[in-house]
Amino acid sequence: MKLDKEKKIVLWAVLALFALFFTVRFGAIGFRVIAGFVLIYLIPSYFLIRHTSLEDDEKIFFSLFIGISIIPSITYAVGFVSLRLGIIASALVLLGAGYIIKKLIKKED
Amino acid sequence: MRKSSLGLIAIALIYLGALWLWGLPINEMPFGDVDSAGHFVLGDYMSYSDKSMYNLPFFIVPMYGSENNGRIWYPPQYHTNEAIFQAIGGERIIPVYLWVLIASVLSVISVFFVINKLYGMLPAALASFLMVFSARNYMTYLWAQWPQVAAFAFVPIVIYCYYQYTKDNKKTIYLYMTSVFLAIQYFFHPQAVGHSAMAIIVYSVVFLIVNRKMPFKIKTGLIAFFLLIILMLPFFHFSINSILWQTQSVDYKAPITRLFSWYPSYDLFKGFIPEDYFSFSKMHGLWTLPFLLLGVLFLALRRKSNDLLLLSWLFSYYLLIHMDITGLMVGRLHRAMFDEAHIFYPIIALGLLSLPQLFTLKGKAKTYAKYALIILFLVLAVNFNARQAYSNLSSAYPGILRLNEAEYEAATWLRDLPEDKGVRIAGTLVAAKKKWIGFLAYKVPIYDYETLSGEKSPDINYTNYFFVDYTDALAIGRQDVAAAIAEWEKSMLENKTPLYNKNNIRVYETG
Repeated sequence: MKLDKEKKIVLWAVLALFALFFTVRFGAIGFRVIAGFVLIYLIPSYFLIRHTSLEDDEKIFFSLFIGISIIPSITYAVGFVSLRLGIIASALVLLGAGYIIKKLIKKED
Repeated sequence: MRKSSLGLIAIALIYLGALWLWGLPINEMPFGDVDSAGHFVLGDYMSYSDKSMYNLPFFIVPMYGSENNGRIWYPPQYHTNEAIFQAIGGERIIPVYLWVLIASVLSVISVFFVINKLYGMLPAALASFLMVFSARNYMTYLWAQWPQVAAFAFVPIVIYCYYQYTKDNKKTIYLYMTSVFLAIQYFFHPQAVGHSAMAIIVYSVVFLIVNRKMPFKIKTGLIAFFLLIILMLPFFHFSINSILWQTQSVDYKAPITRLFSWYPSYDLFKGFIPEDYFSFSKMHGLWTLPFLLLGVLFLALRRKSNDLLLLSWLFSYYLLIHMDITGLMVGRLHRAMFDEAHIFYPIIALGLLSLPQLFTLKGKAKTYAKYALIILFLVLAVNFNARQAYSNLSSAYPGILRLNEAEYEAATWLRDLPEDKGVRIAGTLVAAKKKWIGFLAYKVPIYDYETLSGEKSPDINYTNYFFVDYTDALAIGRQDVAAAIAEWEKSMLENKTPLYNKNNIRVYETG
């Protein structure tokens, strides 16, 4: 279920390219946004679906499309207490859910 | 390097190009027409107050309260993303626009991903390259129909997931992903769900006719349906009013001859949508039409399952933009047309690449012909579509059409005063900016109709502050307008001392 080495290198190179673009074009704000986007949206969403039976490229693309919906959904729910707390909670919930799914799949195997 | 890695690099570069191009209008000052300030302030207020919003704050109610009985009138995901971006970006304007930018250009990725999976990298790259310059898409982004732009990017993904499920191995996860993505579409904008659903219905009928079997297992279908309902249900009440409003019948019904014209009559939209929006040549370039027709012909003649999928999608789009025949959705028809590039551009790319197959070319001649066509495509796309897109995006909201720093600073200063008040904005020459000033100040924006037409604003009773703005008149060198504003200020506020007096803007408290 893990990405192979070549794809990992390409993925990190692509993310670095995006970070460079946002930083050059929008300065420190751009860097904060893209770094936050990767850490809060992309990585937790990818963790959530990486153990599904979807193909590798589907997991990569879908994690982007799922992330922009599931992260704000959880943030909104927790946000009635504190929105900023909700942002952190949403990323942690996805990472936790991804971990549980991984454990469950291992157990089944 | 493997093809999948090359595909990732290709789409990353195309998407970066799109981010650069569509990002040209973004700077420290906000932009957008009509509802832009409304979309902005929902996320902005959540971030500022560090609380999710359900009931609208007082200052939004007079303008948008009737949309959903004083509650937010969209499911909260899109605007919560604005708040998240603002929080992580640490600034008020640019991070929100970066979210809008990333979400608005998602179609480029979704079209690439789906066409790459169905037809390979070359048509995917050509289609998504053309998507970057899709006039209808970037116009909608500039007009600030932002949640809709994001929602429509999911149409190709939903259709793809359903198609994957209908293939022989019937991996159920794809049907569940169809439900998940349909729900996500709904979270952003309900109209896009109709487009995905219609494409699914048409493809299911085609599948049934061609294969003489159901496209899905009843039990799995029911589970997927209930999954969709469960995901949508908590958010259903946010936009039920707007769904009912959008689908309501009006007195107008298009004649049956309308079936033979692609676009609806411009007369229905005169005054609020530019005529170019209803022109194929202005939106896509006339050069794409032969390739589009060729692509349709190619798909119709070949009729592989992926070809039937694209044709079903095209036909479903045709049905949706001809809803005016039924009298339903007439007022929202122009928004349905937003889906056009998503289906046209892949077919255009496929039409172009099918051309060498029409001739009996031998050996390398076929390859040379293909690359010659690709070069031709790029030259035409850059010359017509890209040039126009660059011109429109790089010059969007110039001069007084966009808030200036003095107006922004004064509005931000007003924000710290009590919220349950209204501000009457005089002197600002662009109507959309008045909403921006009011909403950035967390005050009810009251337009100074009285000075323009003698009519009283319906919100006039909320007037607690006067915002007298000379900056626009001075920026365009209209001393006569500035003098008229000064005269009006004197007559209305003669005995008052301004609370704020800076950069040719004065703010008064009137009670």
